[in-house]
Amino acid sequence: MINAKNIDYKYLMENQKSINKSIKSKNKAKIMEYDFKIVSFKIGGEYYGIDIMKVKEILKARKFTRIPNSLDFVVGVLNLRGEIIPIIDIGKMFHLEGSADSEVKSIIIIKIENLQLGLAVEQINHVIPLRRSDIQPPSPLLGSINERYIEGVIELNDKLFVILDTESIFSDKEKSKREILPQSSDLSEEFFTFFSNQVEEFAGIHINEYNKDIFRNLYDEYAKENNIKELPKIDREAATNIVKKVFSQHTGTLWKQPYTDNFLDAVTPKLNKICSEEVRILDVGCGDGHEAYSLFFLISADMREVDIRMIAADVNLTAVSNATGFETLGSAIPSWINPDKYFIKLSDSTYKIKKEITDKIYFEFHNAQNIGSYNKEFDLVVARDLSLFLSAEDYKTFLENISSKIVSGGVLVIGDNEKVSNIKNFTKIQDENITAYVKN
Amino acid sequence: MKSSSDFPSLNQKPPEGIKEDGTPYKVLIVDDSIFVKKQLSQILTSEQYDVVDTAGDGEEGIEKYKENYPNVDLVTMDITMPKLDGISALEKIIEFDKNAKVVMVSALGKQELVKKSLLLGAKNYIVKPLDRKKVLERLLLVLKR
Amino acid sequence: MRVEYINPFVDSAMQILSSTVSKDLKRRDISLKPSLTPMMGVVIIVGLAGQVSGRLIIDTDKDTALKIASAMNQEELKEFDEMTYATLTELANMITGKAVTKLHELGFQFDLTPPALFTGDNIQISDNKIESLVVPIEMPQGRVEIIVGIKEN
Repeated sequence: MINAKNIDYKYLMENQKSINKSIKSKNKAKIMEYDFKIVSFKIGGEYYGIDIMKVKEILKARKFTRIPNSLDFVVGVLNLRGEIIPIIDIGKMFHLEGSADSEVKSIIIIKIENLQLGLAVEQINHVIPLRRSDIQPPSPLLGSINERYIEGVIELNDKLFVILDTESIFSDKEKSKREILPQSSDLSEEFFTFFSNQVEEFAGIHINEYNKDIFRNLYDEYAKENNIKELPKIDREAATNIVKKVFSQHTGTLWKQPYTDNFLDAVTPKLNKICSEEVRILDVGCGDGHEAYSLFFLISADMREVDIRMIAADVNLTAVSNATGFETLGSAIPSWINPDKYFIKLSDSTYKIKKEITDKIYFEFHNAQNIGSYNKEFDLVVARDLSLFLSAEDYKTFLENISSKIVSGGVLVIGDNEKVSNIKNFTKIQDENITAYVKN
Repeated sequence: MKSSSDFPSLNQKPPEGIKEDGTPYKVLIVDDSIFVKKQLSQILTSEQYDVVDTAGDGEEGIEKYKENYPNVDLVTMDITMPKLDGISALEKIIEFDKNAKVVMVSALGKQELVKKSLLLGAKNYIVKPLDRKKVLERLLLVLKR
Repeated sequence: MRVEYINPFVDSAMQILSSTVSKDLKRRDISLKPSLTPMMGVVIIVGLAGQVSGRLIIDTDKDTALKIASAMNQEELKEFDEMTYATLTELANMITGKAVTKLHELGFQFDLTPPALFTGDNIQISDNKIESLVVPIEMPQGRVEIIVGIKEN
């Protein structure tokens, strides 16, 4: 019988300590029992898992280039940090039901010996810890995937997970990367697509029907120069250099001759027909102001009697915020611009734009997707290389919207290397240097 | 044994809201926000000012001034209010009592508003948010003049 | 939105929130919204008038709104009563007032209208013709978005 007064607290403490210890070690043992972890994913409504040790990386929502292949389950390729990875559609490989319509949401990069492969899956679920001992051998009734490729099955949370044995899946197919990757040069269209996808990703731009032609030409040039016989892998530097060639002349600098003369030749005759006192200009994508100011100087020099009202917009907040305080080196001002007329000399080499000029230009932080929000009309809209910064769909919407913001007889100028076929309500100005259209 | 009254008082500043004759300054607060009224009241009563009345718009402000006249030493006046704005109310109060001491309290600090109110007779202009120290300093400035 | 309008609103929001709610605040990236989308639960609107028309909106959730009002009152407010409303509308008033004052100094004629507060679970404001600037600000009390939409008259 325990008499309260006799309780030896010291003994109780010691006892409690050892009880705690044994609880701890029991838990540890339990954790130790999880000796296997799988990355689980879904294909065609079924759940699968792969040993996490084989998984190198998981890419979410990554675009890859679809390229036909002699092995039909190799559906495309991806440039991952400089290495070309073949993308496998497991559903196709095992002829799983329902996998054809599923959307690829993630790519699991696995590594088997020296080969890296990407498994395109619908949806990655969780990383699930389990005990090897709980894995059941596959039932012979599990018809769809050949038993050889299955390490086993396990039931967790009322779901059946099929654990794939990646080693065996790829061991009897050609392991050599050379054989998995597409070879034929009949695939030049797909090669170009792969090239474009990489350029888009590295340079952060959009290649679409409005600018594809120049990229195609540049690709053909690149392919010839580099003697491409297989998948054209490029890096960030190459991508940037290619995009530089696509931008219209004098992007990022004050415009020079003869471009300026060409511009006036194409545009001012049209403007003179419709503008008597005022010319209203919209510059879409003005950046830090070089383009807006070039336009302003150009038009004001040529159309002396008219007043210029300009809105210059860009979605790059930092760039457009700097436009109102525009400064430049004297050496960067081309000879056709009279510096004293438009600039104040800050120092020997630096010139700052005069306030009376910036007062005439309304610089805006504005997204070209929202052209609909303008409630005025313009005589001249300049939107150079905008298709590089919008998806095909958004650019199409832009063209539709801008049409209602230009007066009849007004002019739309787009990038030197852009092309719009069949633009409603506009007629192309026949000029070999400037890509421009007149609103009907 | 010495008592506490034998020791000189330490750090005891007289409350700012008390006049030399020992009675508190009487203040009328005019603002449409009960939050601002509360804030101002708290600042004022902490220095023992007496908030005799409050009003929620310019019209009520004029009424209350007249009702409490001549027992209002100071008026704090918001500008943006429904029915009648603070500038118009200021005008009317000064018309009624050319010695009225009105201090504008507003979220707007436009130069033209400040100028206009001072020209119309306001004694000072405080821009919100209300800083306790700033408010007390300004009021004292106006009352001691 | 006109470039010159941006900083006054951003700076004003940061300064007022810092001095009346919490010094520990972070501004996240500024973006543009074509039209307004579902709001978080508490919306305070101040109208802008003068040479422009438009509005400033403080958008936040109920929890954060209560915490902000509590901080401004220096006491814990447990529910949405009259004082909470008055406190939050005054916040919107001060942010807009300070911005309007600054814009005035820069030469732009802006005026403001008295604020209005709305609460609800499914507030949606659509405004197709005004592109809005969104400034997200995070504080210990939670996240607010200051949304400004301006149209030239």
